[in-house]
Amino acid sequence: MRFAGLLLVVVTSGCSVTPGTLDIPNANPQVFEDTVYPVLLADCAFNACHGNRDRFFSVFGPGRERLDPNTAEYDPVTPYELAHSYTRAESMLYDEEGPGFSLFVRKPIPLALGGAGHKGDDLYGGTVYSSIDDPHYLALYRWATGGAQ
Amino acid sequence: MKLAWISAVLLAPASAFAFSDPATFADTAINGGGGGRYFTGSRAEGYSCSACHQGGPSTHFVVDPLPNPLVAGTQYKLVVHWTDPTTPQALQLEISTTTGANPTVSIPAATALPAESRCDGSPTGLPAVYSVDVGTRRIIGVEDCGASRVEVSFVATGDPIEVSIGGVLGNGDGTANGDGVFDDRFRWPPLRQQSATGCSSGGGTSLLVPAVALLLVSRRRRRSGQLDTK
Repeated sequence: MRFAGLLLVVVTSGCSVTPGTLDIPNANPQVFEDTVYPVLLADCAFNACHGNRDRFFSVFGPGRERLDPNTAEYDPVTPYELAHSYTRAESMLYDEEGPGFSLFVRKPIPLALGGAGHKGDDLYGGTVYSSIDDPHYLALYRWATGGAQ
Repeated sequence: MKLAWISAVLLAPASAFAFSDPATFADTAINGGGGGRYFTGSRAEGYSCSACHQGGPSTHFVVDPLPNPLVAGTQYKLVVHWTDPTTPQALQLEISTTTGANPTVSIPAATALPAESRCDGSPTGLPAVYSVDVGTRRIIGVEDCGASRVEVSFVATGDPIEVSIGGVLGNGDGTANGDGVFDDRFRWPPLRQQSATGCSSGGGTSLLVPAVALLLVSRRRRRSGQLDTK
C-alpha cells in the first residue's frame, strides 16, 4: 500500500526518478500522536500557515481549523484529524536520501543549518526553529528518523 | 482504519476557530490553546495575530507618542486606543528592548482602570485589560468586550524599546477567517520601519509614521507658542 502510494507520488509529480530503492519511512503513528502532533499544532497549524486547507502539508485540530466543521472548537482531536495530519506529515518524509534529509526535517530550520527554505518566515525573517537543538524540533526530527521509536 | 485515514485525507475542512478566552493562549496546543504563544509579534514571539486571523478589513489603533529620548529609570505611559469602542476588539501588546532585556511593565490596578479599559466601556464593567508573565516577558492583553483604551506603564532601561501590538477585530462568526487584523511593531526612539514578512504578515497600517508625525506636530506647536492639544 505504501509502495503504491509512493508510485502514485512519483508518477503524478512528473519527475524523472531513477528506478531503484527508496527508504520508506517507518514513522510511528503513536509517537506522532504523543510527541509530534502537539508540536505541529503549536508551531505550524496557524490558519495562515499550515492550518490552511489549501496547503498540502496541513494540520487540523482543537483551537485550530477543524477537519469537520461540525466539530466543536475545543473538542479533542478526532481520529480523522489525527490521521490527516499524520498522513500529510508522513508524506513529507519521503526523500531519496532518507527521512533525515526530507522536507519535513529540513523545511522548518534555517538554510545555514541545512534547511530547505521555508516561505513562511516569522515577522523577523526567522524560520520556525532557529536552532536544531530546539526541543520541539528535536521531537520532529526524532520521529522522522525513528529515533524516538 | 485505513479506510478512515483515506477518508480523512479526502475530507475538506470548512471552518476555523479563534481564541475567545485569554487563558487559552497559555493552554497546551493539544487542548486547543496557544501552547504559550501570545502572538504579540514581538521578537521573542515571532508571530502575530495575523498568523491565524485574516481576511477582514484592517482595524486601526492609535498609539500616543512617547517622549524622545527616553530617560533611563524614568517611568512612562504608553497609551493605545481605538476609535470605535462599539466594535469589540482584542489586543495583545508587549514591550521589550532591542537588547532583549525587558523593561518593567505594569498596568493600573483593576480598581483604578478607567471606563475605557473596561468591558462595554462602562465604569462598572469588568476589567478588560490583563497581564500575563511568560518567563521574563510580560504580555498585556485586552479582551474583546468593548474596551477602547489600554494604558501601560514601563520604566525605561536606557535602551530603545520595541513595542509590539497585535489586534483583532472579530467578525463574530466564531472563526479566525474574515477577521480584521492590526499588526504593528515599532522601535522607540525610531530608527527605521520594520516590515512584516511571510505567512504572518499583517494587514494593518503601520503606526510609526503617524506617531512620528504627531510628535513633530506637537513639537512645532510648542515652538510656535501654541497650546499643545495632544
